[in-house]
Amino acid sequence: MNAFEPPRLTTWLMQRLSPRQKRESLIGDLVERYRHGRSAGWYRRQAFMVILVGAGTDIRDHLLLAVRALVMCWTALFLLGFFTGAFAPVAVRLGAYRVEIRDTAPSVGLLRDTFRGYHVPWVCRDRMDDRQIAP
Amino acid sequence: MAKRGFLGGFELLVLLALIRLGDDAYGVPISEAIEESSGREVALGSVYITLERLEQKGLVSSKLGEPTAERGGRAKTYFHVTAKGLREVRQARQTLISLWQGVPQVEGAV
Repeated sequence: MNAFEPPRLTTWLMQRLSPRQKRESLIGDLVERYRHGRSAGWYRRQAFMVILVGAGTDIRDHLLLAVRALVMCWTALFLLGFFTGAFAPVAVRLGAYRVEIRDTAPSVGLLRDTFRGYHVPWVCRDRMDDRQIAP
Repeated sequence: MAKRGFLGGFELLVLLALIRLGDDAYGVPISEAIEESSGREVALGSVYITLERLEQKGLVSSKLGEPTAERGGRAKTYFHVTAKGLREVRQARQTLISLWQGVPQVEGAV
């Protein structure tokens, strides 16, 4: 990447993930501003917003498809976790907090729990307690 | 009273920038004009989404320009305010002026 060329990967991502309508003009505008002295960080920030705003618009315009994709993804994760035992709970320390990311689906070892209650992904944020955290 | 949608705050900013820029209104000068006036960075993606919405409402029209090397061979899209758009801006101005009157608490504040 030279100073005159905007970050290639960012442009590539925008070409694939931004809304189709007026996509080329929008990328052209970003390239023009970049070449007039904007930083690579600015370019990446703008590209991120383009993709984010585009995704939001797509979800709003095709809500049914978005819900279907979410359900399919959740089902796939559930089956994957069920048969392979993936997604074991992970606990990490973030400053004064203990963040626990629990599994999206129980593993085979937790089969009994599977049918006791429906497992959903969630994040627990508790005040750090040394008794709760494994070293 | 007939049901009519109000212009959003950012929609109004974009329309005013378009009117000020005249024939040279495309993404870069529009976003620069809003940034200069507001003193805040504007996401070009938001500007384009707003322009698209205004176009769907019939307040703005667009036409494709020529590709230029400076933009990596990509064409500009020029935007124009339609007569309906101009009417909406005038109406929004009237509404704002009448609402501003009798609000001494915010007079002179920047």
